[in-house]
Amino acid sequence: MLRKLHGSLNVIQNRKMMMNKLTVTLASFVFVIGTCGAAVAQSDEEKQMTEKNRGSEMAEIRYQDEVLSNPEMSGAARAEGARTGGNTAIINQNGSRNTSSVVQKGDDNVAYQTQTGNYNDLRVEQKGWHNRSYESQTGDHNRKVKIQNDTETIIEQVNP
Amino acid sequence: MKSMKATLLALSAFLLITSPVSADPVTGDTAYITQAGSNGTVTTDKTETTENPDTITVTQEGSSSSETAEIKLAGNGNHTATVHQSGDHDSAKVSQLGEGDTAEIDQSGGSGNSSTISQGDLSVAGTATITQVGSGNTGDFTQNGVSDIATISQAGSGNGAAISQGDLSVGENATITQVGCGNSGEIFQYGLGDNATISQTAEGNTAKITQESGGDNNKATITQNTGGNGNTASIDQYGNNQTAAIDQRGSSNVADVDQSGTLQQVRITQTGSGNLAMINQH
Repeated sequence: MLRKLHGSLNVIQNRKMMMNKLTVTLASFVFVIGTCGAAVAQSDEEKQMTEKNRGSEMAEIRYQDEVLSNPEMSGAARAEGARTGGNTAIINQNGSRNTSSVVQKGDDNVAYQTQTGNYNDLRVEQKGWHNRSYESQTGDHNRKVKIQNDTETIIEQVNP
Repeated sequence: MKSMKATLLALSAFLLITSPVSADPVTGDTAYITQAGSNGTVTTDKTETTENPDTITVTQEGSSSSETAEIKLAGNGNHTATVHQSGDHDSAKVSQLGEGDTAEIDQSGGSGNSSTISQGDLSVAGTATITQVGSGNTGDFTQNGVSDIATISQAGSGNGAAISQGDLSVGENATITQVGCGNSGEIFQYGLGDNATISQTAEGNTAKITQESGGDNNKATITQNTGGNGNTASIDQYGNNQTAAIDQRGSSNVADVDQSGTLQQVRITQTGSGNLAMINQH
C-alpha cells in the first residue's frame, strides 16, 4: 500500500517536473534567440550572394555528395590510397573577403575549392604524385595561389 | 540486505524523502530522494555486483542552491541513475560501471552548475545525457566502452561541454548541442567507428573534435550555421578513412581541419564574409 502511494506521488512529481522543465527550456530558448538575434541576421550582401549562387552551389554540393558517397567516383584516389594520401578536401565559400587554404602531402590527393564573391584568397599546396586540384572563383578582386611540387602559380583576378 | 549506503545531509530546513530506500530482491534496488532547500548533499554508493537493475533518482528542487548529488553504481546490469537540480551552483556526479546503464542529469534554470558522468571500462551500450539551461554551466563525460551514447544539451551563454570516449571505445556516439553565445564544446575520441557531432547556435562559440590515432572510420561533424559571427571550429583526425565536415554561416568564422593518414575526406562550407577555412592533410 505504502509502495503504491509512493509510486503515485512519484508519477505526479515527475509530470510536474516535466512541465516545469519544458517551460524553463522554452523560456530560455526565447531568451537566447532574443539576446543574440541581432548577430544572427545576414547582411544584404550575403543574402544577395546566397540567392545569386544558390543554383550553382547546389549543383556543386550534389556533385561532391556523389564523390564522397560513391567509392567508384573517387576510385583513383582510393585505389592508390594505401600508400600515403588518397585524401579528399572540399571547401565552399560564399561571400566576400574569405580565405581558403588546402595543404596536402602524399600521392593521389584531390582538392576542390569554390569561392563566390569579391576579395577572396584561395591557396592550394600539394606535394606528391598524381595530386589534383580544382579551383573556382567567381567575382572581382580574387586571388589564387597554387603550388604543386614546389612549383608556384599565382593568379590574380581584378575587375574581369 | 544488499549493501546500499545512502547518506543524506541537508543543511536546509526543508528535506523530504519520498521513498528512502526500498529493496527488492527480484528487480533490484530502487531509491527516490527529494530535497527542497539549499546546501543539501545526497550520496549513494552501491558497489556490489548484481544482475538486477537498480534505479536511483535524486531530485533537488525549488530555489535551492549549492547542492551536491553523487551516485555510484557498480556491477552488471542496466542500472539507471537520474539527478534533477533546479538551482544555482549545484553539482551532480554519476559513476557507472556496467552494461546497458543509463545516466541522466538535468540542471534546468540555474547558473554555475556542474555535471559529471563517468561510465567505465565495462560499459556497453550505455546511455548518458546532460541537460543544462542557464549560464556558466559545465558538463563533462567520460566513457570507455562499446556503442555508448553521450549527449550534452546546453541553452544559455558561457557554458562548457566536454566528452571523452577513451581507450577501448568502439562505435561510440558523442553529441553536443549548444544554444547561446560564448559557449565551448569539445569531444575527444580514441577508437574505431566513432561518431562525434557538435552543433552550436549564435556567436562567439568554440567547437573542437579530436579523434586520435589508433582508430579508423571515424566521423566528425561541426555545425555553426545559424548566421553567428566569430565562431571557431576545429577537427583533428589521426587514422584512416576518416570523415570531417564543418558548416558555418556568418562572418569572421574560422574552420580548421587537420587529418593524418590515408583515404581521408573533409568538406568545409562557409557562407558569409571574412571567413577562414584551412585544410591540412598529410
